[in-house]
Amino acid sequence: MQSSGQMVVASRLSDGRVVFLGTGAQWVEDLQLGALARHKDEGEALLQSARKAEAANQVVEAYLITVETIAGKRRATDWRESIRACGPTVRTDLLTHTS
Amino acid sequence: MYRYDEFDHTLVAERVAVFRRQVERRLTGDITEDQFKPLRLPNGLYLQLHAYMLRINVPYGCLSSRQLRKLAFIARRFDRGFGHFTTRQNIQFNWIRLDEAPDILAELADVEMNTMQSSGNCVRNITADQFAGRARDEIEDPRPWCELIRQWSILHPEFGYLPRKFKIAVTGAASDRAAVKFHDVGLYLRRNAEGVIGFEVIVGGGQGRTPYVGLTIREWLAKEDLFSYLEAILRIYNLGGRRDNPNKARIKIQVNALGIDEFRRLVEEEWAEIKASPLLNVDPAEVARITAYFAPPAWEDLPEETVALDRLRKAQPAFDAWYRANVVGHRTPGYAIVNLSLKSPGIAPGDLTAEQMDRVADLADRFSLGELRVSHRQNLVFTDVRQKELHELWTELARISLATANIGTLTDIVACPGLDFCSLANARAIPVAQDISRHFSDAATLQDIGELTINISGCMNACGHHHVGHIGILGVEKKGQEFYQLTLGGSSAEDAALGERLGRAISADEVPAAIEALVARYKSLRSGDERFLDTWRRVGIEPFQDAVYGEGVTPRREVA
Amino acid sequence: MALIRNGKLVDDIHIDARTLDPVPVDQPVIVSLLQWQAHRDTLLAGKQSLGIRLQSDQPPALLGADLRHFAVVALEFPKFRDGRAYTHARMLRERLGFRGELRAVGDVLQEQLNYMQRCGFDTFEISTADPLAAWQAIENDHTVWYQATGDGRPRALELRRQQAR
Repeated sequence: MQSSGQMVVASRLSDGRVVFLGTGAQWVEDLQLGALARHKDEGEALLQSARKAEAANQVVEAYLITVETIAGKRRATDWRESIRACGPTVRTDLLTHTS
Repeated sequence: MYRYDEFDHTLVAERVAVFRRQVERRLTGDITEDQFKPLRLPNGLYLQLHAYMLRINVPYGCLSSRQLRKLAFIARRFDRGFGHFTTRQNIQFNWIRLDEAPDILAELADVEMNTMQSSGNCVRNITADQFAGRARDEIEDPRPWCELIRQWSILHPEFGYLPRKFKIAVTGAASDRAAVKFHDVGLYLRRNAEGVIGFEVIVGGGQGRTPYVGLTIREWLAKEDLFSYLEAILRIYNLGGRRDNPNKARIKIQVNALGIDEFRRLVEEEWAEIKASPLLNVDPAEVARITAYFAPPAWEDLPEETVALDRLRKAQPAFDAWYRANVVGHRTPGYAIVNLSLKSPGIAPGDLTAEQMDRVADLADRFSLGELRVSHRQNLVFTDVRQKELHELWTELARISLATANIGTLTDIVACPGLDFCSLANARAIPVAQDISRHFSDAATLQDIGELTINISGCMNACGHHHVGHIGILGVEKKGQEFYQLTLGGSSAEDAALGERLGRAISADEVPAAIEALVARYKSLRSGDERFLDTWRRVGIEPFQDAVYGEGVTPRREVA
Repeated sequence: MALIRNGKLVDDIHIDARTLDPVPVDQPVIVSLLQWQAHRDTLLAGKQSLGIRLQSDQPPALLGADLRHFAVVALEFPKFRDGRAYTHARMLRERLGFRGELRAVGDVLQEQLNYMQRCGFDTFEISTADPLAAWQAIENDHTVWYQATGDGRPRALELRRQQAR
């Protein structure tokens, strides 16, 4: 089964790490654990929440990405975002997550 | 090499203190990201795909073993155990924390290193021939001049907010190993008709979206006029360079728009005003002070080791291959220059692990007077190796995968970090380099192909210098897929040229086969000991298009 | 706007006349280049202290001999990234011999004040809520410079020599 939705990705201010907006305005490092917006309105709400986190100097450069879920596993549809979420393709010893 | 005195130390320490305060202001929310970005960039701190990236200056490519050990420490303590040497002789770390960045700068200051102006719209790290002071074809060591220019440019109050970045390269050799004609300003140490050494000044070279080979603005400049002339160029650029579009803001655009003659007229007019200014004098005592740091070391009186080396080379083909590819003649008998290839098969070009850094530092102490160099082709160099110790050094280097016999050959690939690390990239560069280097791993094959440079960039900004590779590879993105455009015939050497686009872009999978086809065509066409580049220049593009796209297939020419 | 001079907040006797029509001639004003070109003789006849505010694409050399009529030259930074006024400031001080007040206006950030001062600016309109604090935060940032400018500060070269003596 395949479905798609949106998530917010950003860089954490203190260490620059790639983070995804989770539920309850928490930021998580694993794309699988972030909040998934099924509709445009939900996506906008996530982005609004992210703007607050930017204003509060938690994260920088937040934006929406599209993710698809295949067999229960999410991945970013955009190749660049997929590399951001998973880490470089060339230093697999440095992968941040196996997703 | 140059050593900081108390004033250099103070200047760097003050700068670190300023940056520490700026970082604190950012972390506490005193300033916004928009306000902070122009503060962190001139300290070399970028926000990249995965984390902050820190670019550290290696001034004109000179490193001491002590500095390299510090870089190893930083790689371990603050990063993920490796660093990446760039095409501007710098080193980058990829997983830096903002809140630790000031501590890293303080660590660097301890070993007389800094990140000042490694980014931002200012004069960047001065680059030079990696064999400076040791090359046989050199009329004068460029490093004292690099250090003088470095000091002149650092925190220059007038030129901190130029239209765009500004890169300067210097060489004193006949062979251009510093890509001098592809810099905003390039300097060749040259003799004039009277035999006096001064500078030929090149201006307006560069790569990126709009590549240009630099043009001679002045055939010969007296050394004592160096600062006033540079200041005149920077002034004309600061006032007249475009500020409406960052893609058109480099000096090359201004030079090309005005024409070199008009640009020269403006510079000379400004120069006439400031030439005699005591503010810009090149002080002979200061030149002497700095030159003394680069005085030749106390080389031993050694014989050329021809016979012994020949015996070892005959006995061990692998050593012979390495010797032929990686060892370069030294200006002093009994010594050799040794290239350490950071391009072993399957490795990201320019990467070095912390363990390798420590070992290389030890080897530099043991074999090369404690110093090494970084080349703009992302390799390391030992400048003062006794010929009688070459075999021993080779054995040691092989243990840490730094003895690949491929300098100047097809697998000595230059590549930018590409989409694996860089937020500007459109496509990956490193995996393409890895594929090619695995495909052509046989030393004998590489030697047969001879000199052939491959340069790979992951986007139009051309950090991998694809325009000047004998074979250039540019990553592009089409509908979410990575494709690669080939250019042929580029050169960053004294025969500077921009590559010509071969045809339609190909997929990553097709790249090694395309390189194979180009090489096969070259081998079938070459006459005598012609290099790939010479054959290309003689026969033109068509045979190579046929080789890659098939006989009679006219490749669809694409608009850039 | 608050003005910093010699580390203190000072009052500006001039009014910003750029949007005023007609330009007042009975009090000290700062005018634009266009206003100066249109009303030069009237302004001079008013015998008030005069200032001119130049955009970053208006080189001070355009003023020619008129430069002597101005007590204040204000150079505008439309964006902090636009560095042309650093060169213009040095030209005013080191070539055109301007000894009056050289004011930095526009997008003037705390972090730029040291460079501006070295290029010859002596008053600053700083884009921040507390300009005095901004000045105090940076005024001791740098004691060593490699370059000489018209401000007469010794460069590292001279410091080295003094020490060697």
